[in-house]
Amino acid sequence: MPTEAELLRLAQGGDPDAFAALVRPHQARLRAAVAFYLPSGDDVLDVVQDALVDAFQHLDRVDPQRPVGPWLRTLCRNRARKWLRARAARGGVHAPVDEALLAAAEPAEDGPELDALRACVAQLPADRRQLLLRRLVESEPVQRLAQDLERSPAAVSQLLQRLKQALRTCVEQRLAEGGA
Amino acid sequence: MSAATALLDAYRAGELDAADAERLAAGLGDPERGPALLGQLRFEAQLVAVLGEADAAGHERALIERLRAGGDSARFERSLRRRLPRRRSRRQRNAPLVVLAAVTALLVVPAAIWFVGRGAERVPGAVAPIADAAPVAQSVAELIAGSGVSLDGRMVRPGAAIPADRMLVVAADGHAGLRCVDGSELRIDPGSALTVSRSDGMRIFLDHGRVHAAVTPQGAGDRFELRTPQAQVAVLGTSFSVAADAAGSRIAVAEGRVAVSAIGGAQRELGPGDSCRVDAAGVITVRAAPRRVDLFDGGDASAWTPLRGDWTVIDGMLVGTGDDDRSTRIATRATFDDVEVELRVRASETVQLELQLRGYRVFWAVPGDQLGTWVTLRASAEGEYLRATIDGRPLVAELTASDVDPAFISIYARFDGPEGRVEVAEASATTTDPAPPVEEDTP
Repeated sequence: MPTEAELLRLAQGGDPDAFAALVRPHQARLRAAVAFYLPSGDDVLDVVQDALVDAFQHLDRVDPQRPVGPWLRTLCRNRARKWLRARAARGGVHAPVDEALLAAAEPAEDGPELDALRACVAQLPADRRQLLLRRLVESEPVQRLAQDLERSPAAVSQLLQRLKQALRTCVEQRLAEGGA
Repeated sequence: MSAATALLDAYRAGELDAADAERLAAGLGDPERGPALLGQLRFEAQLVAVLGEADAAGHERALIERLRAGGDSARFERSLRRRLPRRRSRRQRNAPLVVLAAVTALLVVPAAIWFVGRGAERVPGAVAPIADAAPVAQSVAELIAGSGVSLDGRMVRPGAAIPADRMLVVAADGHAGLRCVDGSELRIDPGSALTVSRSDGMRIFLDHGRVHAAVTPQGAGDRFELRTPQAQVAVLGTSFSVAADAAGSRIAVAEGRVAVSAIGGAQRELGPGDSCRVDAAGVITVRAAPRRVDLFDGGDASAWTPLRGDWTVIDGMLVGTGDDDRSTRIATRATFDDVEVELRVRASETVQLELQLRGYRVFWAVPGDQLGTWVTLRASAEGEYLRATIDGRPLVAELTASDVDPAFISIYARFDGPEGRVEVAEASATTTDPAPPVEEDTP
């Protein structure tokens, strides 16, 4: 297994596969940093990928003696804030929320919570994971989910809320127990 | 579900109305409710990140593909969207439409066969609406997202081909995203109606409502035009929005430049951040938006000159450490007149942080519980007025000079320990000065 420094050296030489391997362990944290600012899962993926392309083109800025994760996270976070700022400048319904998020305190870096959450999500039945994914990542309307589940929109909203609450509780318990 | 959580859920899904957006914004900025809401937002961001791992391999392939293409955005977007997990609804998975669509494709014309193949390439597993198969040869756009969208009175779903000159209506509770055949994308707000056609470039006619357009660079001889009842906007690769109603049209440019022509003949050109209104009489009123200058975005620190202590870029942050007097200072190379400065900054072993701009000095005595915490420092100097906040809370500021001439922006920190440092993750200046800041020698 190549070390981060070895992958960085290969990536600095222009190897996309090495760069992909270099950023692979950081992808979840990068997505979480961006998703704090961006509401849509599709936009999150786009912004992270844009930032990574930018990173690839500026790998000469990276000090091989230092971990690459914080630098990638800064690039992603800045690009997310820029995206949100541009949307706020265009005005529209979401502008006040966008402004409030830009003014909010920076969230702490995502640490062991992500590992705990990953383990908790893995425990969910597949159809529940699918429901969360369709709503949170793909931003599907509750009405469409309700039609597919043959439930009322209110019932689907409650189910989503219960799932999220259960996951938060699960994460807190895992962290309190000291394991992910 | 609590009201606040419901608002967050609606925000994530793009379903907030204006009143709810104001309520959510107020909640986020509220000292009591804000932290809990931000905590929930952070948790949901983590959840999005973890759920997004379902297609990690696909995203990585798309990244590599884009890097091999030299980072070309347009090619990347198409390949990424092909690879993004687009899960079919249960109805789609189970419905006999799949068989019916295949049969239809075999029975009609070669164009339909081409369409089915094209659809499969575009979105794996997506079922093409049967009604859209026949006219696709004349299609000028594709509905890539949306709900409550009708075409000449018939409801259409994402994946539908949009033929030329057909009225597309988005219901008051709906939304729509279109990708034109030239690659340009339109986001259409609820309660909008428009038609799309193509002749020497894309032609959009917005009857009413609002459209946000991200326009790809146009080929030679082509141009992208968006018309409203009062105005015509011609662009050459930009991002802008247009809203229209009976009283007038409003055009706002996010990137690039557009030329606005009123029906009466008046013409104006708008740049990034500019906006204008065209009234029913054809009068164009331009409002030039403040110009934003990136002073530091995680990489390039050339806008700054260190004046005291040591300043280096580490991990995408501009990091300052103290000299023998345990203080440090850095200043911009350019001067600014009326300006709003925004910094994301973190200080450790620091007793005081100062921001100087145009004769004013903003003080922040760093409280112990804020050491090591990222904060957003904003200060705006406009005429003889100065406002400054830290994470939205007012800060003490003083006038340090008798004049308020244009001046350098500087950051000063005084430390109370040997490991004192100040880190800047992002710095920008928004200025109403229409001319670019003049590069001058550092003071």
